[in-house]
Amino acid sequence: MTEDIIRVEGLSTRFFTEQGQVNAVDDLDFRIERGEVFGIVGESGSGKSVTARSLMDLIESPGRITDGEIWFNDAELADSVAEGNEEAVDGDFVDLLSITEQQRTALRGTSFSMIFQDPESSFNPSLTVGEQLAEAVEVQQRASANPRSTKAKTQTADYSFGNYLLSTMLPSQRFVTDESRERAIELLELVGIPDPVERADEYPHEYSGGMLQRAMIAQALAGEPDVLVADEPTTALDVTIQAQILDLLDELQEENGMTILLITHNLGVVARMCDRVGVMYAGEIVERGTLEDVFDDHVHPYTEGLLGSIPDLASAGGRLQPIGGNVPSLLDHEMGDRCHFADRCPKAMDQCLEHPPEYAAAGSDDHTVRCVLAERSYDEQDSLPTGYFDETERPAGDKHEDPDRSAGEPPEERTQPQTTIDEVGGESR
Amino acid sequence: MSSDEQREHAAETAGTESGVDTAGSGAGAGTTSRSSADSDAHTTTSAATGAEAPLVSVQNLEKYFWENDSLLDRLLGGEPVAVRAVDGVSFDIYEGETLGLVGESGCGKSTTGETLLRLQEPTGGRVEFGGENVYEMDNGAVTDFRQSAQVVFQDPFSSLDPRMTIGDIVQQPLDIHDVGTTDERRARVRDLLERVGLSTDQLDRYPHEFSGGQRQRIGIARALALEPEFLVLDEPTSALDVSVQAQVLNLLEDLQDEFDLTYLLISHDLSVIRHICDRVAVMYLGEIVEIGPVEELFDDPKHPYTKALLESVPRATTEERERDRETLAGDVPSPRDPPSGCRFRTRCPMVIPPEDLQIEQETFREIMTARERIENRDISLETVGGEQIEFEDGSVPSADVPAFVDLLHERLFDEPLPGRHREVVDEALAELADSDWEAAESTLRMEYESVCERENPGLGEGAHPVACHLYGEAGTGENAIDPDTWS
Repeated sequence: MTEDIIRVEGLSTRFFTEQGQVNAVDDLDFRIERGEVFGIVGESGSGKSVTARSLMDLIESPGRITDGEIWFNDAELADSVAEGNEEAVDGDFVDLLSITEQQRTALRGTSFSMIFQDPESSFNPSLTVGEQLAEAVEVQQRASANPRSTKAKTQTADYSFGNYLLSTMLPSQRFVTDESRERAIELLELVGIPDPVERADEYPHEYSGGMLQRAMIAQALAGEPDVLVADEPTTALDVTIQAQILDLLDELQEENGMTILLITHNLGVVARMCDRVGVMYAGEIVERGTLEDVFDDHVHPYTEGLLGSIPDLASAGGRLQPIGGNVPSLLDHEMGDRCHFADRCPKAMDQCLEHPPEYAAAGSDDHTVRCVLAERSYDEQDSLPTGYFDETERPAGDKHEDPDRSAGEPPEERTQPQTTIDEVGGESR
Repeated sequence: MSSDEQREHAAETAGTESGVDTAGSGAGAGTTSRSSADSDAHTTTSAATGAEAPLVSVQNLEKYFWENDSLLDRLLGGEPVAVRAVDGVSFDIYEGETLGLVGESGCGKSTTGETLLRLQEPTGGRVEFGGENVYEMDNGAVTDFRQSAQVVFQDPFSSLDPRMTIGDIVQQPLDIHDVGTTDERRARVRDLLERVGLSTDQLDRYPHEFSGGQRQRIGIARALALEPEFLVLDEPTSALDVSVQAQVLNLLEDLQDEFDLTYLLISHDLSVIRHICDRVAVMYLGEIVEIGPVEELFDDPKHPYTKALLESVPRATTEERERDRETLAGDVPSPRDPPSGCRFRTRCPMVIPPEDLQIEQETFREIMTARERIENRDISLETVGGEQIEFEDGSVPSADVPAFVDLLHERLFDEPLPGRHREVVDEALAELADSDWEAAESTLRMEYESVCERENPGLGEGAHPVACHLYGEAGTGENAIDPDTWS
């Protein structure tokens, strides 16, 4: 039995925008086992990137984690936190949301690392890749020299012209030592960059997209983290390069026994990489379980819709079965207390007007689903009248969103607040 | 392409120059008015040639972009550098079919689409639309051409003018081409919006009020406004989520059936191509490497690049983790200086060794990759020896040469090369100890020059041509090479 490394309980992250409160992540629970690849899959605006950032504590204003606990399994950390803050510790687990900012920061890089979607914009264009990697190494070294202390951050390293001039004369003012440079080169080699010695002296624009993504992975590995959060790591890449990067992540995970939280919209990538999967919709995980549970024994109509939307590569199939409508806006006052998918669901019933709890579903023990269909079968007698959501909830809008479906589809609008989420989540492709 | 440019293009295709004189301005909504002489020419050609002749015929199309070509560069005597975005592409599109153009980013597929619509002036080659050369049309004929050939752009966020209501956006092509009366235009716009699945009471809204999928529908409605015969769909769904992508793909299929449209679908997504296309052309670095009917190409891909591309796509099934995959190494080379011969040879897992050479395929691939790096001067010799070996004035003391060669060998190859190959390669590496790149190059070329670097295989003719030496001379199948013979 593998142990959990992360347990997230009741996590809520909200954004307070001019249009109102946006529930990007809403009362979310999940756990990740040590050494597994856990995938979160969903469409843009479903809250998957915000989940990843909440875990890393990278939520910026106007967003805030408003509620919940993130339990992280680290005996050493638990010991050092226990004095004076007993509430934050539960056995070997530490609640990352109740420890001090400094303690939290010290975990970044050494316990948690993140790789982002867009490698081009994640590097500083005016420094060589080697220098940026060496800097990451340096930060980690300082962090481990002074564990859990405030000194973990680079304190002197302000990039300024004055500092640059000083660094040319005084070795002590250099940002990186020779050792960390060596380590940077080792890291580049580890992620399969040919000729790392030369590449270390090149600038990000001299790298191709795939190589830059490798370099970003190298940077994330600098502190030998326990958990790697990969937010759409291959979305910006071509398929042949995507295959290379996925192979690399696979290899690294096998060699180092790293735990990976993989965020993606691509079900193929999920199938390729993950042990367990959570399908996210409107800030909640609507279905979760092992890969087989979700792909073969799925219960939730949303999961079915998502899988039905993908054109098949193996055979030219008939018509695709899309989901009508769009991802909801996640505005608090528009969400209501019903199943959030009910307005797009082909099997919506009276019961769906109440927010469903998580039901256990057939398959492995982990398989749960937030849909009443886990408990009962669909009965047309109980189905909601056509056009139910048109009148009751939203102003008249797009009645013809999907020509393939009858006029019973709800109007959906995705206006400004959605854009806010997209920006925060960084999911535009 | 920047968003401004894209918007400009959209408006341009939607309606070329405004104020063009049209003959039948009284024609009803839903019918297109054309300047009569040219439209006659149009209809007669397509009617006379029948179903056999292609609607669009692209012959040897070239589009280069020039770098270092400003006045200052010329004064300073700099040589302009050609970026060969599209380099001799030929294909036909028949009426009513969907041709897919697939390839990785930067392979020139979008440039091909834009150039064949004459949104870019070509560097060479010709494009025939219904038998007429698109690049030799006079203004009137171009206006007609633009009515019958339209485009839908990739990014629904930047290809719609944010200051126009969607009603105006869809009506603009009708205004520019002066189709029908004002009332008829309005009615047509309503029709179109309904047809693509939007409601008519949204006419007065602005693009920002719509989601990505809805905006793409608006772009499609705009493209359909003039009742075109031919649509270039440039990555129409790559900015959309999969559930919305499926809606748009279904819509495109319905529209094709309803209006007898001919599509050129440009996409990097193989599953979309498979789903919607009749025939597929695979592009790599400005050239087409394989064209064939969709079933054949997906079930029995011939070109090693097509094979690799298909292998690389992760399938959304639970068997995916166990699937055998062979992934391509390396990146796409720069179109500024494309490789000689076959452009895929720098990454090709099946690169062909010289006839009389006894060598394993993998070993040959490794040697070819090392050669490539030597030819590009892409090895920093200073760092090979580290602290132990001195490297001054571009050479290593003769006593240290064997050690230098060993270190360099280790750096270039995962495993030491077997037998005689190690001797040949080490001889070349020893020349590098004196920084004599050219000598190293020629030593290796003598031994390992492949047919793939000498000759461009060419695409050839037929229903399923493939540009690869493994399948012999272009189109004839003569001198085909069996990969089993050389290991």
